[in-house]
Amino acid sequence: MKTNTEFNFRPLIGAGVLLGLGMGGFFDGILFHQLLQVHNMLSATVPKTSIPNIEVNMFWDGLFHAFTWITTLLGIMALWRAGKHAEVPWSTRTFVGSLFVGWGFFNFVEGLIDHHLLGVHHVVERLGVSIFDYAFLASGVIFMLVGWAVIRSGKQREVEHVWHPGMVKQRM
Amino acid sequence: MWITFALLLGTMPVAWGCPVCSSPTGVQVREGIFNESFWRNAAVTLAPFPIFAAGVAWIFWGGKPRASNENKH
Repeated sequence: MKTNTEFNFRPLIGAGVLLGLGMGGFFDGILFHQLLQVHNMLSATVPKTSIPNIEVNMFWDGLFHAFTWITTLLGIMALWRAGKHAEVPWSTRTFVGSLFVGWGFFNFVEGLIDHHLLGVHHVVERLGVSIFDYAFLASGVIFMLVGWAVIRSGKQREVEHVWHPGMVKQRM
Repeated sequence: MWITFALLLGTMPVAWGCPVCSSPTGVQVREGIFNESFWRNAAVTLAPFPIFAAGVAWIFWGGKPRASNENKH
């Protein structure tokens, strides 16, 4: 039985954001780079007009995805650690909201840097800078705002219904 | 594992263009990757990640720690 316990949502939010970053990166890579093939990592500076250029882009896609994979791994590790701390409420809303914050953060930062500042690729490469690039940025902002709102609602709700994986260990 | 890798390399068709392929296309691919732009392209590819890391670090360790509520009985 807990009394006067302070809850710490940060580890769960941090883990969720890491996983959201990673999953957002994989969503971008799988959908835009591989399934739709509308752009690759350096498709604006190394146009996909020949087999070697396509392969070169695939290499840099692979490097980007390697770091996306590492980000996801760090998220899994952070989530596991969060579950071991009694002061971290195991809040579904907080976690799901954090996933959206992470995904939105990925879209906004990656979109701003790669599509606009560095111009190494665009959402639909053959169009150059287009409405799709701005929509991608907007999706990042919207995801972050929605995620933040869901996190806030999770914090309010979990005050009364606190559970975390460590409770099972305590009962045993 | 290294035997498997060596077998793979040895059996790759000449026409393939992968970075480790021993073909004219493979040579072009390697030259397209490992050239004077290599480090620039690496920096550009990984540019968003320090910002991701800074954002996550701020979540874990930044700002003032706040208690969301107290569970009173």
